[in-house]
Amino acid sequence: MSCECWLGSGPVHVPSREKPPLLLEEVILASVLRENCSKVVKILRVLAPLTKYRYVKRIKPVVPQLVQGSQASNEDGMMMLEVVVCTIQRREGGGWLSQEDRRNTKGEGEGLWSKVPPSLKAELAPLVKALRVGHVPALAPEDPDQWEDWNQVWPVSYKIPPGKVAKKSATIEVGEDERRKMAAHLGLARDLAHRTHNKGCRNAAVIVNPETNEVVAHGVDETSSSSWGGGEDRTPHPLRHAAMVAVEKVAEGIRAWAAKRKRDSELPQDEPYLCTGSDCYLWREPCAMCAMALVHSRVRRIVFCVPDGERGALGGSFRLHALESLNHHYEVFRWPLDRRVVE
Amino acid sequence: MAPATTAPHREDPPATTSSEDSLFTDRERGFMRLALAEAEEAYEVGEIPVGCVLVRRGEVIGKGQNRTNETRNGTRHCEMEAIDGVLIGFSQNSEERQSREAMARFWDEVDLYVTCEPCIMCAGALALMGVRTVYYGCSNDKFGGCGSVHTVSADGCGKCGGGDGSPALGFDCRKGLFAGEAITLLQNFYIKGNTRAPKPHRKHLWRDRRLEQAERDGEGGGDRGDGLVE
Ligand SMILES: [Zn+2]
Ligand SMILES: [Zn+2]
Repeated sequence: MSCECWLGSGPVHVPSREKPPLLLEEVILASVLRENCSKVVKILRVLAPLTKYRYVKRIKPVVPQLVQGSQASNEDGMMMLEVVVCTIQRREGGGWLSQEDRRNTKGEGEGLWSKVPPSLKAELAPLVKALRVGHVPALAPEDPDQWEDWNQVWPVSYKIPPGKVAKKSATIEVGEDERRKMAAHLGLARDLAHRTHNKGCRNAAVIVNPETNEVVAHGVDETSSSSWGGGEDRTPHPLRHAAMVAVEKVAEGIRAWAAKRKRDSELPQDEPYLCTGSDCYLWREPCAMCAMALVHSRVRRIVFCVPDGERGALGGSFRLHALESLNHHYEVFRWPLDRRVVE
Repeated sequence: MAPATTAPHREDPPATTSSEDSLFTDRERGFMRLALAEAEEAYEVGEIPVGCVLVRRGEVIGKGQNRTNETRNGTRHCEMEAIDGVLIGFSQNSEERQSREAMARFWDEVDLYVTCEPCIMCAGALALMGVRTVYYGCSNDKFGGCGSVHTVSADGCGKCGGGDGSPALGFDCRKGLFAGEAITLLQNFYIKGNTRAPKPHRKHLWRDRRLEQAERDGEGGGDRGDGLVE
């Protein structure tokens, strides 16, 4: 079983949540000469604040050719800007259009003025060249990549959430060196799983310290074993899933370390806290019990091969690592098997 | 081990019965009192104060306290301790050990009384064992597997080892029995501080960058929202 071709092309990051898609909000845009811009914005700030859309920038410089031929064309050769007046649905900022109105106005022309609240119209009309229907992103961008993309639609601002480190991307890329290490550990998990069960694939878990690339502990599914918990001839234990067994072995290691530490004061003061910072390689996607056990153990990352679309807790039936209330979150990768192996 | 300290709540007479408590029978209340006693013992040895008893045919067949600190194993919640105890107790030639059906019938008559809502892991474990009903005190807003955070109690749990492939079904839940007492114990514990949970300044051999993050984000003190709570 030493052939390397059993793994598919590479690990797939299983994000704790999908990035929200780009949703658009219809808005009324006003073409304004640059010199009038600050006046317009001042008026809007009072009469039509973008409360829910704080991330939307009010102004966008217009590239002349984009408005060629329309009423907003830059005939004076002066710098023209576009400004968000209000949303079309009656939400923030007042004015709105019914479906029918929208069809009639076709996004152009004087008809739109009737959709702007009268008080706003009175103040704005002298300063605005033309109105049109446009779009802004309906949600704030969640990461720098999204911010870049969504800026193509309309300028938006991106705020790094307080206390969170901005991620370059919601998808974590794995480098070549790391992939090789991953594949090796998955290979061990696979061999352990196969060795212990000739019929199908029982599960195996390998816990690795990524800083040293050393295997800290490994365990296989022992649900049909009668020796567990330091005793022999016991009732087989239905909860002895591979991850539970591996976590227990790590704990044994720490207890042994702590006992040694008592005798040997040369050892460092701090004992490892559970499986903090370690990676867990599993042959099969863990169930809810095991996935949560690995949260309790503060594992840094989980990598598995065989998904369980019905009962798996890391993308199969749900995504445990997406539950925000948990006090610890690990990252999850699935490395699909090569198609030929699956068949 | 941490020196034994008396839980402050003990100075007061038992809290008065809340309206929720009166929805339960005297017998059920009696079993939850036993679970609370387990939790108090855990408190006194510096463990997160959650306790439980397993009851079958009106008899306590197992009990457990959280032992995550002592064992250095974050999965040793009281439910796991109690289940292990029952399994170890089966004699070599008991009927249950002879047939899978007898074992299933056995657990289908078992109820759990636990002071705090089982976490997602324990709810999965209880589904895998096939217990009948889970009575719990307070809800567990961070980790609860019986509806607070996820619904393992209703959905059941997979068998990620493969096994016979059949998924484990869910179980019934009844909540709110002596919730106040359970919460008081936990609050006292966290006021005292979980001595073994990592301190913000403490370095780990396997330092998790996200841990530091959690400590920065953590509400009310770095070592409080410890994952070892059921
Ligand atoms: Zn499992
Ligand atoms: Zn638990």
